Amino acid sequence: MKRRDFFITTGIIGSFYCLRKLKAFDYLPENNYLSNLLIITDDCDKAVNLLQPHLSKLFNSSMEIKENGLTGSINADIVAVTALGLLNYKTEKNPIANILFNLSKSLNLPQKINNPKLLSITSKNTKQPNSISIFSDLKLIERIPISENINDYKIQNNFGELYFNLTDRKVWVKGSSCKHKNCELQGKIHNSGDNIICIPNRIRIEINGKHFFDAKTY
Amino acid sequence: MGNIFSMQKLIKILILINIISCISFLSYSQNDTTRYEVYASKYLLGTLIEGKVIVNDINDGRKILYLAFKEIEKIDSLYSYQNLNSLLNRINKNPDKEIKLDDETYSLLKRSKHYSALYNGLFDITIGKLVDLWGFNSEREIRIPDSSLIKQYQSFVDYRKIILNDQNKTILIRKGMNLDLGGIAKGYAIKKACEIINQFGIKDYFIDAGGDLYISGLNAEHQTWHIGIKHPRKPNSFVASFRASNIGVATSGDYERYIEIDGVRYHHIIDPRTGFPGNKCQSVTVIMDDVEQATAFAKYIFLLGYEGFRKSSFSNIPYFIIDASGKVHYNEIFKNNYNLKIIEE
Repeated sequence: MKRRDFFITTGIIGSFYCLRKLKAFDYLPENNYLSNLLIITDDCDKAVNLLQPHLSKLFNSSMEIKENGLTGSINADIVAVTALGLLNYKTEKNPIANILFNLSKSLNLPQKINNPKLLSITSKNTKQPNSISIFSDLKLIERIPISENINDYKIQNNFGELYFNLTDRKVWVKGSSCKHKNCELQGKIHNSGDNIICIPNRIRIEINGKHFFDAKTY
Repeated sequence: MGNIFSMQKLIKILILINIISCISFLSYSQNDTTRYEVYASKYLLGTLIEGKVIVNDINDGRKILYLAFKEIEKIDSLYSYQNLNSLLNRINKNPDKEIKLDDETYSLLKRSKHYSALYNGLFDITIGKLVDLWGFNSEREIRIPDSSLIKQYQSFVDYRKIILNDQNKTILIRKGMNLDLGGIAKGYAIKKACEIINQFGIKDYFIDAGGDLYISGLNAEHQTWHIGIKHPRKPNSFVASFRASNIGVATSGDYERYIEIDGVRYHHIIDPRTGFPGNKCQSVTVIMDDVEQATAFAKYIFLLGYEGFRKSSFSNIPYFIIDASGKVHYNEIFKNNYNLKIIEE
């Protein structure tokens, strides 16, 4: 298997952190820098190569970049978010929008693709968790704002099924088809970087945000 | 004369300014190198394996992690108990027969037997069938087995009855016996993945296999890695944290795979002496250079208990133990060398 295929077909998750605080455009107001950048593409190697030289110009803080496999056929594009809201890189005229516009041209976006992957870059200044990510067999299936309240969200795959609740910015598993029920025993999670992992069902729910520790032992 | 003196002075000042500028430029250039944390994860060896490397190029990091994970995949295909087609299960399915092994497998099994002897049989790789009986090694429901069955399966557990032939590199196990390399395979996988990463000259990284890990160098902020020890009774809290570099860390606990029946916790670390889950500790974390040995050692202490352990010859190894009553014990080496901080008892 080729390296590129491995990353795509196994749904391996990549997460990259840019750590230097470099202000490329000191004249830009703080709110104009990106807080989140999502790139859906079928060529992550190329996207990373094109993006890497510009990362420190798009974000004014250290950042986290995650790479996830997605399912199905999807309309690939770039979504950029600042503190002011969505940045329309196709119509706005500023240095950040220009970089994203050129990036979209180089990646031939937007276009419909069959083997989508998501590069998600988030400013690590975001201390409070703002969303949860749901993974099934290592593929990202949905992101939900943590402010939402949801009962009995069902995740089903070839290994089994799991139900969880999201209320008051906390997530917990209500039921799972697995025999060991470790996911249910884990209780409510609410901190950035917390995970509920159901290994038999290959399901993971993560609260997005900066992890407090580099690693955990358990 | 005065002019010449002034000129010489001016030249000296200019040279000095030039040197300072060069030094400033060089130090700026060095600091200006952007470092990236590249992270990957995958389900292997019955757990979630995570790896992180710190590199100057994101795609280099992806390539290195790809190769490291390929190595772990290979180990999974050879030694996973959960993988029914693994080499380990081929040995288990062929008792009373001499099985020829490759050098790598033979050496791993030899070390595993050595750890079993070193740790007085409390760590014993022949425990597979007994753990299976409880349902911990499979997707089956966990339940308390019939006591007569426990007794019967206990009789299959004895590492001394594994016959390893150094000359022919063969193994022979008794009928009824099942080898389970458990933590050792995870520790070995971590070691092999680290070897791959080291080949690329990467100094700063960690590989984590379900909570057992090896940490190398410094984190991306040029500090020693900051590790949290999970609280055994508060699922989403941490009991302590520490900072470390270039060491292996292993934890054995009663809180990751368990069920409670009538208020009693039954977990996956089975004591070969009783056939029941160990009840002397809630959690044991140890730090050793060799992560493979650390995984076996943590299990040994978990079953031995704090009182037995502190009288042993191993008590100079950095440890963090929470006994069955919830009391925390650690030694000065852990506290002083690894900046141990208690978060919540």
